[in-house]
Amino acid sequence: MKLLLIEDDADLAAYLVRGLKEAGHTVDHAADGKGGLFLAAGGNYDVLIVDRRLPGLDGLSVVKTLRGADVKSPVLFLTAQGGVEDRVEGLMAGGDDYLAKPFAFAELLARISALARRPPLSEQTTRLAVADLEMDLVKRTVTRAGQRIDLQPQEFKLLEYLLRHAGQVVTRTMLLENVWDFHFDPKTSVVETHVSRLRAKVDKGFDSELIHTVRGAGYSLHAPDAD
Amino acid sequence: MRLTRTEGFRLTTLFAGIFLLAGGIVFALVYWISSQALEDQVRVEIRREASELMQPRPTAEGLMMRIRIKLAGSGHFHYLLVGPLDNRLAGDIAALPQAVGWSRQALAGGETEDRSEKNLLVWGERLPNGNRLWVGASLQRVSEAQEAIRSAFGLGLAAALVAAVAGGVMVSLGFLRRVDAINRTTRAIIGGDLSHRVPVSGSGDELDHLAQNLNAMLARMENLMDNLRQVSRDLAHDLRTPLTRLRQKLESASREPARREAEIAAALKEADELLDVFNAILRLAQIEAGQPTFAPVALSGLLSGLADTYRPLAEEQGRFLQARVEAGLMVSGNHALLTQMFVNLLENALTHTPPGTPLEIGAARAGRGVRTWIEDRGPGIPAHERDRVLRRFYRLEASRSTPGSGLGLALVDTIAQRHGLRLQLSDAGPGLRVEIFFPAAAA
Repeated sequence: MKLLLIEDDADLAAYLVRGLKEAGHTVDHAADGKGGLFLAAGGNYDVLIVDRRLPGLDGLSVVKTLRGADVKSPVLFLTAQGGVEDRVEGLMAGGDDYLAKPFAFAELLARISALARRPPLSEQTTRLAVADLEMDLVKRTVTRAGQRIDLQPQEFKLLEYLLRHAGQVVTRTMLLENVWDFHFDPKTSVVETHVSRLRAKVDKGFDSELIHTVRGAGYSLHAPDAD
Repeated sequence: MRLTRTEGFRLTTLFAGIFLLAGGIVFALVYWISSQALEDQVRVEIRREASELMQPRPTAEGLMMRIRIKLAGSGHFHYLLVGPLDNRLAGDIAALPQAVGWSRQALAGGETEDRSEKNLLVWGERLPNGNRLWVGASLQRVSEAQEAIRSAFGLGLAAALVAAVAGGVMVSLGFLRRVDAINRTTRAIIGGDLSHRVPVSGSGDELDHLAQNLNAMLARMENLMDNLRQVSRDLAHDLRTPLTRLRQKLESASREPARREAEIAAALKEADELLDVFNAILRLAQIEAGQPTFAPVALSGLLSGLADTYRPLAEEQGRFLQARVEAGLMVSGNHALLTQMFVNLLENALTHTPPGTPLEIGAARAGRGVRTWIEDRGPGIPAHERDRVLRRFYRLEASRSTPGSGLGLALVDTIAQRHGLRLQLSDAGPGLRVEIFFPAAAA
């Protein structure tokens, strides 16, 4: 993927550029808002990674300007301020996701993939499927190999999110934010417990596992032969 | 002089001035009207005396006789009868008035009056025989009355003026004294002692309101300063241990290649825990300083959702999590903050009570507001510790070994305060009951 990183902290930027390149991405880097705006306006990037606090033109203004100029590349904000209000402000300015510093590199990778592969407005979708697992969003039913699986509302929401991001790595934080609307880090293993319950219903008793644990990163739902 | 610059003194001067002006106008009116009335009365008396002299009509000699008799008596009138050739026929008025009708004359010699003053009011008429008769009376009564009015008003106004100035000085001095007390307090606070408070007189006036507001502000500042001091102390204390451990792990990783992987993993975990503490502190600061947006929150849905989220975790520990949430409860608040508040309480109950301990989360209407509660059947918190657990970094001896930053309940307390909610910890007999009261349900 072709990425643009707008980050003024030289150490962090160097670390991120190296990591992203090792993960197989092409990365351009700008150290301030103006340079970032210049690059973003010219190149066709799959994802923009924008620090909110930048010297001169700040990240929020950069994204507002880009959106005003009809640049549609998805934007991931990086910030030292992780408050809910800041997050809302970033999303209102045209950002697509928000990651508070400090973050694990795996978290950043997962979010970049999720953003780049975000399907164009899939709200009309009524049916999600991976391998022999099917979800009917209208009837709110789930079947695997034609067999009905009964899910609690939260399990249904969790599986829906995994299905919508099938084939991608989904981190614990992404699940907390999108399934439970928790914008903080709970001290207990909420995600792990619910995923293991979901696994017991979706995978147990079937010949192949669909929900996979990605060590040090999160989870991924995909067909058994996908990797 | 400071006194003359106070608002109280300025107002007193203004009102004394207005009072003096009004008093002066009243004086002038009273003086003029009463002078007129008294003089009119004298005129009536003079006319009556003149007609009495002429009734029934006497001869010239008879009239002269009557005048002499009157003058010899004790009456207070004065007379003059003049012939056609201005020849004086009788009477005691010294000068000959120029015309008949009303005029003022000086009194005859030998009288006690000041002669230079034309203090005699006279009425003259032409008689049928060509003679002219004047009758007069002294205006001394009028001047006496005028003198009385003048001195009465003078004394009254002077007394009122003295009272106004004295009152103004007293009010101003009282005001100055109270302002001085406020200034002394602020100086003491600038000097570093935040425990001082502005005295409140108890009269409930504007200065008292000001003093009360200042005191409330001071209490909040003192609280914040205490918090800050406490936090800095606790930070230094609580972070030294994990930082030392982190250092040891990195050191051991660099010395023993065989253990490198395990030690680095342990160091990462240690660093994550440190970051957790920092995040919690940041979050506390953000909530305290920020202006969260409030909106109606469907409390029933939020709480039963949380019960659904945490029930599997409870069941894994062999617990039963009961939800007694009344349907349709709405409150005003910040959804994200309220979620975090209840999550912290639930997680506290899950981590600080032994596995198998039942939990309950509930909400019900209480009067115009809503009561929510989270309770467990665990060991509870001793009564004397209940206030302290809300403090930052405070941890019960029993929970020193369980993971946690000691900031969870402090965060709950802060969120409750930002929402104006009452937080109460009590004995669930056995166990801990945490109740949160929402003052009014949202419409």
